[in-house]
Amino acid sequence: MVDHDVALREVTKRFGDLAAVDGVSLDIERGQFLTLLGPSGCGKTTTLRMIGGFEFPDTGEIYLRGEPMGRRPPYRRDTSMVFQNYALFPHMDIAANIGYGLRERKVAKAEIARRVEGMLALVELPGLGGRRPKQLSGGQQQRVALARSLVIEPTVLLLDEPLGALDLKLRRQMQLELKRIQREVGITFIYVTHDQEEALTMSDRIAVMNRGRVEQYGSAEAIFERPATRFVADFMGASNILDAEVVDADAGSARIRVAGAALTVSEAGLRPGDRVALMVRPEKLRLTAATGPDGTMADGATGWDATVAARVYKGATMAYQLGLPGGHALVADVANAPGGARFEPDQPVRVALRPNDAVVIRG
Amino acid sequence: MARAAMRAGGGTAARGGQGRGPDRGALGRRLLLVYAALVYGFLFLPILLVMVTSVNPDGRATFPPPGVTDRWYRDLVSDDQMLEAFRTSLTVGAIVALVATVLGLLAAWGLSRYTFRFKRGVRALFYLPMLVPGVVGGISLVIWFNRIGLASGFWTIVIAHVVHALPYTLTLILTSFYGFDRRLEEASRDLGAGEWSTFRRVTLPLVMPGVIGGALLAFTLSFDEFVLTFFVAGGGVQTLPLVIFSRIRFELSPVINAAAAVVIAVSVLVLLSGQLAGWARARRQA
Repeated sequence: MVDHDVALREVTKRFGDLAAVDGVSLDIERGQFLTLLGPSGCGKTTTLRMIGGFEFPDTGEIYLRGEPMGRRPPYRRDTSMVFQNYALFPHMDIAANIGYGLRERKVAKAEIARRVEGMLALVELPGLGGRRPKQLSGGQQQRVALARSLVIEPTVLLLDEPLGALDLKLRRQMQLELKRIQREVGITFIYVTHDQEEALTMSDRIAVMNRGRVEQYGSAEAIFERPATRFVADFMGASNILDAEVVDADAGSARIRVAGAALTVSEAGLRPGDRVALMVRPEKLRLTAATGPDGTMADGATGWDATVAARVYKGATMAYQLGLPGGHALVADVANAPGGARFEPDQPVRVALRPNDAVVIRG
Repeated sequence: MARAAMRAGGGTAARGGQGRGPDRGALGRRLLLVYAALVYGFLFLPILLVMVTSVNPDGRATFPPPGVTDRWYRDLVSDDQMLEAFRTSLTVGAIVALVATVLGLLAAWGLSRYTFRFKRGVRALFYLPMLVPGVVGGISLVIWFNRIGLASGFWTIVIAHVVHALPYTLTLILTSFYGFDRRLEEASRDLGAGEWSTFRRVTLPLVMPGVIGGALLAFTLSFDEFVLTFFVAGGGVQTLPLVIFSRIRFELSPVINAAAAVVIAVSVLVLLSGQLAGWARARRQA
């Protein structure tokens, strides 16, 4: 049986009439980096705060290492939270901040000092124990908040958009840093963010949330490559999503009608008449000037006749904005290979994609 | 006295601080300056006069004073009634500061943390003693003490002063609580501190400026309170303002100037020490 550090069972939390979290169930394996990803108001922070004991579910149950938490307060849970704006104690120096939880646990003074030093080394802030929080930069305060939470050796570390206040360069650096620290201490991290790139960079597993529900729960790759719902595809930054209808299906593939053309896709389990959506990554689209008799290419790719609306040079690639029949639009990223074909605005082109590159979204 | 000056001074500062835009011109600024000078003069000249007169050998407000003497102060320290009243005022002030601060702390906690029915009404009730005229408040308290059978004296003075000081103390403490980042308490609880430990180690140190300010203000309000005290003191116990008043009814003794100067000095020193403590604290944390 898999070792679950945290399990949520049908957890619901209402604020007035609004269900902030609506029947969420999750199993989080020990030592994983899990990200709750979603737009603001999707319930990700409320979910995190319920795991930490700052809010309690109206219905459902949260288990830590198999033990139901009920209405147990934060100071009697083996979780620790890194807050969005760090919440460092302004009236204490850095060492006292980091040692706060240990002092509360009646650890001996010398032992506290030793472990605080160890933590300062882990977060790469040696020698700053005597400073006040205000004397540190945002990134340094972030590391102190992390050290303060880790020093009490929690089962689960909760992080509520901890990098939100940092500039982009520092964010990128801290993302890798967090990942390193997580590997080093080996405990479960539950991370809340609205930044999909951040989620992809750090997470073992991602739960994409929307309107209080988990839309999809899976590996970063699965979420990005095979979004289960249109919302997930859209949120993960997909630019090409088109409505489609299944016209014909057999065991391993199907024909779908999208923007006036019939496409072959490798997707099992579809039935004729199903309303679905087609997602295709811009870099998976191929452009040619030629058109075959029935539009099918040698490798089975199918596609549309389209017109180049505009193009943008992006260094390694050229981004083409394409107009499709019926007013639909697509974006294609074509590698700028030496001697490769270029297409001019208003030029008619053939857009093709291989059956394997099309992602069919059912939700 | 100090209180009246403080309130009025705060008012003018607020009015002067409302920027009307730089295009108003130099004349407008100069008029404003004259206006401010007049207000401050009106407020502080009488106080200054008392202090100057307290060292005037004539014992009267002659100008220019013919010299400087400490005679009235020596008279004051050998005046047993004055000294007894001074001690009473200090004791009452200290007790009032303590009681008003504890009550203010509890009320501020409730008002800033919880939402409940009639919360606005409850908060307004806390401020009501500020609006009730002293005479009305005094009579009401006398009737009430009489009704519950509490004899006039030391404790009725303390109770009246607490009623009088609490709105001001509460205001200061409440301001600290409203500016407080609740996530600090969450962080404390998260790190293993229970409710009481969190209050002692995080909440209280951070609202301390308001608490200290509230306590000092309560002390000064009590120290120079007259109207309520006059009603509830009865015959036995006398505070310094009561003695000063009873003396000027019979004779305008120069000792009174010295006593008044002491009252002013105590009030100013107490409030100033609060300010200094605040600055020192701010500098330590910066």
